[in-house]
Amino acid sequence: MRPRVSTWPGVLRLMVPLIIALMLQLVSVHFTATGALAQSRVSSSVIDGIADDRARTLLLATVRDADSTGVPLEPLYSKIREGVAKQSSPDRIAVAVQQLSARLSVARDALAQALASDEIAAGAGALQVGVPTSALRQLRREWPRRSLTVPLGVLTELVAYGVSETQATARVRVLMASGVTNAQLVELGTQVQTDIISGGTARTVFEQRAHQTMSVLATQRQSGRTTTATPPPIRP
Amino acid sequence: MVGDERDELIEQVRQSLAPLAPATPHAVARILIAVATDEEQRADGPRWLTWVRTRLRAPMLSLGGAGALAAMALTVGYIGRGSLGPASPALAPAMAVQEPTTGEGNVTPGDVLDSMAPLGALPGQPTLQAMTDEGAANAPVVVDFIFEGYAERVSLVGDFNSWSADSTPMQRAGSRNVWVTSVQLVPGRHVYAFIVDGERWEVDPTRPAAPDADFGKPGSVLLVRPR
Amino acid sequence: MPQDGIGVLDSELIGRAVRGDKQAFARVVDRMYPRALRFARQMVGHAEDAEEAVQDTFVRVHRYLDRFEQGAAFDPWFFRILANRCRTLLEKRNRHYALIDYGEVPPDAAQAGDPVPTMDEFQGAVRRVLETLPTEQREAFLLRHIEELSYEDMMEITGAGLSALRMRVKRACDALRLQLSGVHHGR
Repeated sequence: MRPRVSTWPGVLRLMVPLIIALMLQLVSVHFTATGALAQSRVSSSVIDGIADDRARTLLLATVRDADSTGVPLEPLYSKIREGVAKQSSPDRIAVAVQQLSARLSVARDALAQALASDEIAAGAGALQVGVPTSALRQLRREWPRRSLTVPLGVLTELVAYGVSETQATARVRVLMASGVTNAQLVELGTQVQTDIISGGTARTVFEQRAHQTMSVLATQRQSGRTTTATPPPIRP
Repeated sequence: MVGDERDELIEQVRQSLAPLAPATPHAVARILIAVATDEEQRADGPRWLTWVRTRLRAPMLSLGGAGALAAMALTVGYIGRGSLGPASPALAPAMAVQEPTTGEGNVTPGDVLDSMAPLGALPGQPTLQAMTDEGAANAPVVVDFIFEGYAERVSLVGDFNSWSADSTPMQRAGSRNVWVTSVQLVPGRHVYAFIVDGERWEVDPTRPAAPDADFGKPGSVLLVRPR
Repeated sequence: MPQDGIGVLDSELIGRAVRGDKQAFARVVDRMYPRALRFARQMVGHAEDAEEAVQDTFVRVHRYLDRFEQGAAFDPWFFRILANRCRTLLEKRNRHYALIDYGEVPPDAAQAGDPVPTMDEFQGAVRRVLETLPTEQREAFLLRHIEELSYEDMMEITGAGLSALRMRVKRACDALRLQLSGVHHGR
């Protein structure tokens, strides 16, 4: 039998990895806690900037609710800062944040398996201008793995500029199904903006531009090209 | 017939080469910025103006220039649509859009799908083009913002910096009132504005307005195109 | 010919721009840009070079506005600067291509040399013929038949004499007639 005492170094040797692992875990827990604390400080500092007690309480409750249901918080903080930057009243900021939280929640559900919080925020933006929830669901169903941030952004802009949500959604869906790239979608949105500013009616301008984009896609398909050519400018 | 005068063929040539594309606000803005920068340089402005000029010209020199320019937010006080619009009626006819010859009834999704479906792939089956596009879809794009106006300090605020007035201060481009900054933005729709001297809210007159149902203070919209 | 007011400038607007009115200058840019870009594209055959030439032109126009004689025609003065910029760019580009002829061809060389996209076969053919013309013939043809300037204005712009300009336009027209006679114009 080997002396008992002689076994200690061996035990220690066995324990060293365990001790290191334990220490690493403690350090990890510490940093996680610090991170969480830091995040909570950030949120707190944003909300603390609101002078009114009632509005601050309402905002805290809204953010906590959103946090507990998995709604992304950054858009909410951004909305608070936006209100502050625009010198809005605390009450108005609180209401805007509450409404945004509701839209984010609806968008997140509609865009199940959302790829990023950007996408949820883009969905919330689309809902705000009147794009129906069903359109978000439809797009996600058709494009489960494609980021919808850009298509939703363009859709939002089109509807905000007076194109009916039904027309805009239908066109964007068909364009996407026809292989439109995000760059082409943005180009389309920008052209429609420019045309409307120049005096065109939203519906007409959008019809024209969407058809031009479809023609470009058809040409590309026929010639087997995958470039992102833009439609030529419309001339009278 | 005199050899340098028009006959039918030369007239056809003339007609094929004659159409004019109207000047876009961005094209005009880019030129006015170049002019202002040149004015600065000739007035012995700071050396780093050369850098500003280079940055502004860069999108024009690349093949992706058109896209980059479309994304570029150029703000020059005197070329905004607001100031140019009424004063330049010549632009409106040139940019007017042909009215469709079809009826003006409401378009239903069915109509839309009927008219376009033959060209499309089946939903849910992305084409090769769409899939290759996806990879670059979210890569940030550098966007240059320029503000011109009298100010002691100018900040850029927008959804991309959480509307923080401290995050993106703009730099004065020389002794004149031209302020510049560059920001990396992910493709998509962005809303922004300028805060002048810490309190004055200024929109970009060269960009469409973003309605603001929440606070009633519109910003400007920028659709950032992927690279 | 200017269409829809594009390219039309009144002397009052020019006068204000000369006196340093920024809004007036912005409107000069706004109105002249389409014609400038059309000419530059057809001269250099390359969209980005054309935009560079146009931008440089407006910078120079602004820089030397105080030298512009009040009451004089603006077009010849403007197009003299623009035509100069286009010629300079073409020379620079020719030098560049002469250099790369001896080295490795850049991967995008073919693309970079592509002309402006064409709307139809005829237009494409016209552009191709234009590209084959000597620079001074192309310039003279565009000034005469597209910008519709008088020979007097063209003399001021190019510095060439009347008979030389007439000859250049004639040769350009002859080349176009010869090379386009078999091309179907699909309108």
